[in-house]
Amino acid sequence: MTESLHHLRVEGVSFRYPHFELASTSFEAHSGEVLAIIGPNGSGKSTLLEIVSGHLGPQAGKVTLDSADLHRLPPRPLARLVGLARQETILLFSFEVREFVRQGRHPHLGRSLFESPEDERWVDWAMEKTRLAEFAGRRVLEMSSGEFQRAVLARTLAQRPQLVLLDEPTANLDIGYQIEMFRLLRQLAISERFIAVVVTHELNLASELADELILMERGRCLAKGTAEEVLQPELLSRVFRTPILVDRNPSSGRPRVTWVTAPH
Amino acid sequence: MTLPATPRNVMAVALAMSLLLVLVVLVSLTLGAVHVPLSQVWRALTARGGGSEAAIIVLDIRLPRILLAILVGAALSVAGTGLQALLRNPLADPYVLGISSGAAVGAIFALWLGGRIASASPLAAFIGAMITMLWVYLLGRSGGRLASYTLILAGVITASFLSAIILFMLTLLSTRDVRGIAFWLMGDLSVTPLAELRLLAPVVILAIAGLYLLAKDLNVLLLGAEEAAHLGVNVARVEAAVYILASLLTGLAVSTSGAIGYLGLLVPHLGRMLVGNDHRMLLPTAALGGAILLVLSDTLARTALAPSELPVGAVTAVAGAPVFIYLLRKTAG
Amino acid sequence: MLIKPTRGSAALQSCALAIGFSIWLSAAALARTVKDQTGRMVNVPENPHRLVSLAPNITEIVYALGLGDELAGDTDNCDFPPQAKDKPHVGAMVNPSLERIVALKPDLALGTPEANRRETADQLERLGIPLYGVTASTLQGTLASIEDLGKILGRAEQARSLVAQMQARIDRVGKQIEGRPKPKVLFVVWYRPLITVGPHTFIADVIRAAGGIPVGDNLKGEWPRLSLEELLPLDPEVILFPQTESFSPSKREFQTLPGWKDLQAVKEGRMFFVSETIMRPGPRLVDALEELAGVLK
Repeated sequence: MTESLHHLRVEGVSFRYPHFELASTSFEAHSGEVLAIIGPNGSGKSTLLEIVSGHLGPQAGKVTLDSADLHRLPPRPLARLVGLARQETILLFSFEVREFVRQGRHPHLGRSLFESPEDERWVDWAMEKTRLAEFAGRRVLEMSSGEFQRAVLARTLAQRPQLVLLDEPTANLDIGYQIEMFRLLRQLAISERFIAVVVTHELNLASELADELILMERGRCLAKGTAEEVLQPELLSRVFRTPILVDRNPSSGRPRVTWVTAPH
Repeated sequence: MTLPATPRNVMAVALAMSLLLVLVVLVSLTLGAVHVPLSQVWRALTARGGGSEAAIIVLDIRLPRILLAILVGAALSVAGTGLQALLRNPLADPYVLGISSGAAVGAIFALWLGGRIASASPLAAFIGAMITMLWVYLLGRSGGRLASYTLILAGVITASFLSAIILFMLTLLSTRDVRGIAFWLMGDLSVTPLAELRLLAPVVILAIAGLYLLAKDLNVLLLGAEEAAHLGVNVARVEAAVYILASLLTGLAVSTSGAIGYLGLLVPHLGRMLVGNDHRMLLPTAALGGAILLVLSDTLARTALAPSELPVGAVTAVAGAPVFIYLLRKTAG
Repeated sequence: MLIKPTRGSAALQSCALAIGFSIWLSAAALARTVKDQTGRMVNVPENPHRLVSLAPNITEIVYALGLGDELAGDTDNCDFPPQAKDKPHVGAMVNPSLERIVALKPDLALGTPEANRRETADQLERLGIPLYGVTASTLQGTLASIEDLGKILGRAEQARSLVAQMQARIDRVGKQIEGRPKPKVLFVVWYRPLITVGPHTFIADVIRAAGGIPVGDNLKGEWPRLSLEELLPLDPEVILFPQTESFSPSKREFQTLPGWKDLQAVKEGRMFFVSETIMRPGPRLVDALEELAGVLK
């Protein structure tokens, strides 16, 4: 992270799997912004995220971060710029939480075999921000899945990337932690000047805390813009194939999505 | 317990274990079918023993064995640690990928050809191990990298195929050669001359050093191949390097001293219990711990039923199996 | 070997080195390089007077040549003559303790590829102890081994007379069996699985010299295994078991075993125990030959 502002440009990226196609998609974001990618399962959200991270090469289009083509970067420089956190594989090895978070500094170790005092400071910082300091000596395998997700976020933050990509970071968190994590992302995106792109199912959290939403359906980007623009009841009802009402959250005034459960 | 892997901690642990190793070596030099008191051991080591029988026993019989035990113990333990990281499985061992079977086939083949080739059987064993390494590598690749499940499958299939070949070849050998091979298959530290040790030592040390340079990558690799890639590790390259170095170490160990079991499996595990999962601390612990344990096993093999010698693989198996079962139950529970 | 000359004793050390070197040279001059019975070149000392035997049959030969006192050590299995049991033991035949051998300071070790490993020979060579190997695959070969050992151990006369006596007894047996029918003989080394002797072993040769025909002319190796299917067509007339501690099945047992019970030897009860000496290619092999000739009558 540097003092200057960063600019992410996703230009016309597309990808075709044997039975799924992500159609040409574009968007932009700047430091301090949180972008939410929403949509039903199988709509291509994760594929899009992977392409934006630089780890899945698109069949067309490109992704640039401050005019650096992410897909041309070798793994280590890429990892210094981009932090990607997804559903993790189960660990068979018993790491301590702090050890686990410290792995985030790996791209910055360079030739050195060991972490420097500065590396350790960033680890402490990441753990403090995610309120994991008390867990430092605990084993990762002993944590609840929600606590584990915070640890994964801490590890990503410890990377100090310019682009933070999260795939369902709140899946196992209770509502209090969910709000806290999104707020934290917003705060840090501004203070640390990174760009956050989050794939999420939480439409209302996205509405409250994202600067821009991207709605995907079956590999196509159907809508892109503010919560007001994207969270349209007819659109959502069609995409999620269930009646949906959109009103306003009385405390914040932002659009609030409600699932209709009773027939009318 | 986890000791944070700082340069100071790593050096402290390495130093402590090295001192323990030296102690174990000195004690082992006094023990054997013939008792040699420490004073005579010392005189022999400092070249003041002359041609006395004690000096011959200490310097020509025991010391080469002990040095080989150190090299082989370290090699197998480090190979096991590397493979457990590569396969992301704390219960993997260096023989699961078929290297030891390949070495055995090489050795038996040389014996069958007989004559001068028979005396070069360690070289033939090594060639057998390396061919197997290459074969399993080519077989176990998937999507340009060494995915652990395809690699394990390739290794297990190759190992069992080679075992069948070994049994077949054993029927072709004369009885005397079979007796010789049986000893080798069970692990035998006594047949390697000092000259071979001089070739072996630098290669083993270099390979272990090579793995140590990959230590921080190994740490990240434990998180998962994808996660490691996201953290900047060139996964395909690191996996290939670990595979080659671990196989090289295993091949060297097995071709000089046969298939000594349990070390490659248990020492990394015990090391993890002692110092944690960070390979910067674990690798030196495993190397020195393996050396110490194998020297102790060999000493036991030489003394338990003296003057008869047990094959050292029998000692590691008898001692290792209960430890393995205990560890297995502990992880399960 | 580590050589670290210390300052003060450099002169003393070079003297010791020079003396040692000349002794070594003269010792080398007094040794000769011969080819042993396995084809290896061995540096045999002129008058070996401290011997280590690595096989029981060699121990017997050594005693028979009158060299019992020169035997410094033998294996755990060396039990004849009885004095051999009291000699210092160096362990088993297949993995003797190098340390014990070295501690006995022998100038010559004696072994046989039937019992000892090539690795042992190589290791002893590296430690400066020559190992002379003898081997025999026929009755005559055993006699040749005795003569050969006699020559290198400086007891050529005793060896010649011993061999002559043995030859006389062999010839007598040869006359005895003239004109007698030659039964087919199965020699059972072990019965589960069935292991017998190959046609080119000295045991098979003894059987022939005693007037029998060892079954299985086309069997390969020294201790071939026979399946019951292969055994039945061979249908031996006589079955021999060596009398060892660990092996004493009863005849009745065999009359119930599948496959075995159909053999004519089992049905007629022509199953005999013979002394273990038949398995030792040494001076007592003629005892076994005579015993066997009596059994096959």
